[in-house]
Amino acid sequence: MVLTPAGLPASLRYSMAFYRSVLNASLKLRYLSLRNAVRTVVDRKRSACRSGVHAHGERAELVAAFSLLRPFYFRQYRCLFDSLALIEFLARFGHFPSWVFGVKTDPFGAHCWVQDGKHVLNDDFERVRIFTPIMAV
Amino acid sequence: MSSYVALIWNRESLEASRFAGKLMDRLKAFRSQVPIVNAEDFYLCLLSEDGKPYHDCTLLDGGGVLVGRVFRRDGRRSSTTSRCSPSPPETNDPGTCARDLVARYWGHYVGFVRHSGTRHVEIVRDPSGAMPCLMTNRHGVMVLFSDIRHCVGLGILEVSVNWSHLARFLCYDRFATDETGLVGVTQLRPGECLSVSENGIDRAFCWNPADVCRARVIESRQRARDELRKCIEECVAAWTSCYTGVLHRLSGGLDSSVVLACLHRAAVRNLVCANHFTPGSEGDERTFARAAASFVGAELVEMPIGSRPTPLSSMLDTAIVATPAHTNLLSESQSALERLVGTRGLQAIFSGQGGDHLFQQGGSIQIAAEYAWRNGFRGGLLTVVEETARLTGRSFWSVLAAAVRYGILRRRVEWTCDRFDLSPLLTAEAREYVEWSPISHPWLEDARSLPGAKFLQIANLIDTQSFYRAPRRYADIVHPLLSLPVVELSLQVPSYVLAYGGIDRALIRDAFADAIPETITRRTAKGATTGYFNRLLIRNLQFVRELLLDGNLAAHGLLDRASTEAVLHESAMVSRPGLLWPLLNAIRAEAWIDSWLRSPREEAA
Repeated sequence: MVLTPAGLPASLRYSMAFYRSVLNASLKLRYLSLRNAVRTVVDRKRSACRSGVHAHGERAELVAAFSLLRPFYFRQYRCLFDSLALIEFLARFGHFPSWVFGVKTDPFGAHCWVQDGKHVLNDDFERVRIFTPIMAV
Repeated sequence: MSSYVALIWNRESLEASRFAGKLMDRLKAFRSQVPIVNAEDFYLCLLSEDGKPYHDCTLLDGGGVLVGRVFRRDGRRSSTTSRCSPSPPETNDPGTCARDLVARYWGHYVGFVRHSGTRHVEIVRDPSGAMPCLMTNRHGVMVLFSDIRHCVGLGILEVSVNWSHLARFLCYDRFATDETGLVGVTQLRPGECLSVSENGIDRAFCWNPADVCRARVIESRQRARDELRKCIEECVAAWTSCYTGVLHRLSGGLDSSVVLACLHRAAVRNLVCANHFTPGSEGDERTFARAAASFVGAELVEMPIGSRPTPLSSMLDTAIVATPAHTNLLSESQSALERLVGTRGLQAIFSGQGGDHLFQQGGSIQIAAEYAWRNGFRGGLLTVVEETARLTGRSFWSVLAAAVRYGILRRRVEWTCDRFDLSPLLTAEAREYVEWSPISHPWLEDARSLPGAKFLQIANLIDTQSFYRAPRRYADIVHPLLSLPVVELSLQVPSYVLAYGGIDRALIRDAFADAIPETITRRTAKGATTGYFNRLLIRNLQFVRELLLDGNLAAHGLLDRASTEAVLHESAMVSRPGLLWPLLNAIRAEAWIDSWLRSPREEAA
């Protein structure tokens, strides 16, 4: 399915999931420490693995839907928020990719992104390759 | 490229005439000096770097001289870059003026037009600023020159540093005023005309980017794409006609790949591409450079920088120039480049510089605002707002608000000193001076009635003038994307046509889609040298401490010793990335001062 702004009304399910996800991510980053926000992601992933949650929907299509809807949430792009929001969104469809944190020196910089296997889902590989991963959730 | 010295004086003044005579005698002692105009109150001569008895110069019908490489706008090649004869030009009928020159020619030049029968001389500097036009006055003689070394050689320069200019340089190294780093030496700004007559001296801009924007707007994407490709190809072909051997600095980015595609099309006989890479992955774009070179079958030389721990002290360029610039801190790569140019018989260094500035590389909310400005709420405003939001990482709603504010209500974009991050190394006195001094440019004043995106594009265009400030005396520097026809065309294409679909530089990607590899067309990330420079400074902290804390800037109250000392530690350098560029500017400024304090006369002609 090709998603276009004109096609959005037909993708109501995605829209609802998107707004729940971005609100959830906003609340977590507002009221939880980063450690606890990460823990909620870990716990959900573990519990999904134990209960054998099945993924529904194509991952690429879901990422495209998220990307298409993203400008309609008022928050400016920030890697921490955007990665957590995408993880929340994909989790609603049974996908549990990794949330990767990386750092670089000379000068210091920190970044995070969402990755599934070798595929970076919400960034450019060339941009993330300069960071050394220090944690993958 | 040739250099020149021009003298203008009032022939009725005995003192001025005598002094002018003295200067002409001194000039005759210069190697390979060729007089072009030798009149009662105006003298112009050319001097060549390589000692060959001919120079790049075009004599115009009616008494004009263009020093440098020039091309006719109408595409006729007959008089472009003609080798001049040492005979003076005909001066019967001027029939031209500075504005006409800019309208008829483009290239790297300074033009001199002497109106016969009068004392009226007009001097114009080409809008790209590639050819310098420095000025000083001594004993009633106005001396204009392209190379400060000639001014030193004439013995008319009393070296006195312009400290207020240096204070501004420490904050923003690309600002463009008529000042230089030396007291008493000013410059004609790119696109500016100096008129000297019985009535006095007048200065005015004879080319203005805001006028170019107003003259035509190309809304059609297809037309803009076709014109852009044709224009870039023609400009690159024109430049290549001047050289038999070209070194192209191929970074692996979109713009340098576009220039390479055009060089290939122009069938340059001796073409060598060079890619500088730093061991850190951020500055290593070899994969893309290799793809671009192999796509057109060009030779690629990969040049590592920073692989050997070269001391910073040996990397400071001591060549004297009139104003501090991006003084060479990459000596290891530059010396390798110079060797390559020499061994391979190359005469010019090309690059893709300027593409980011002209073709909407950075995302800006002003893209949507320009659409709203030109089209109101009609058509695809919401689509452009959504695409701009995607490009900038802003929300749809904030971009829509900006489109209404700047596009519908036409609020002006503020561009004042707040654009410059005040260096944390400056003393309070120096900060105060910089905050209050006028850094703005007349081009920007005229652009205030344009859409914000065009205003910012013109500000970027002014920044590009700094690319020509660091001279390379062993080869011509050519940035073909900054050729005037390309600049003018890009100014006439709205930002939402330059960057459509939420993709930066979308139009030029599309225009050259079949001429460069797909990996580069799709590439949006850019390489950076930040890591290399940061490591360089950390490795040389002791030297940097001595240079800055015991240096001239601190002694003259520009650098705050305590603040500077506090940041010169590895932990600060690693954790505060914002320190790097102020520190580099301070080092460049110290190196520049040092180049004058050493022994400038040794370097003079």
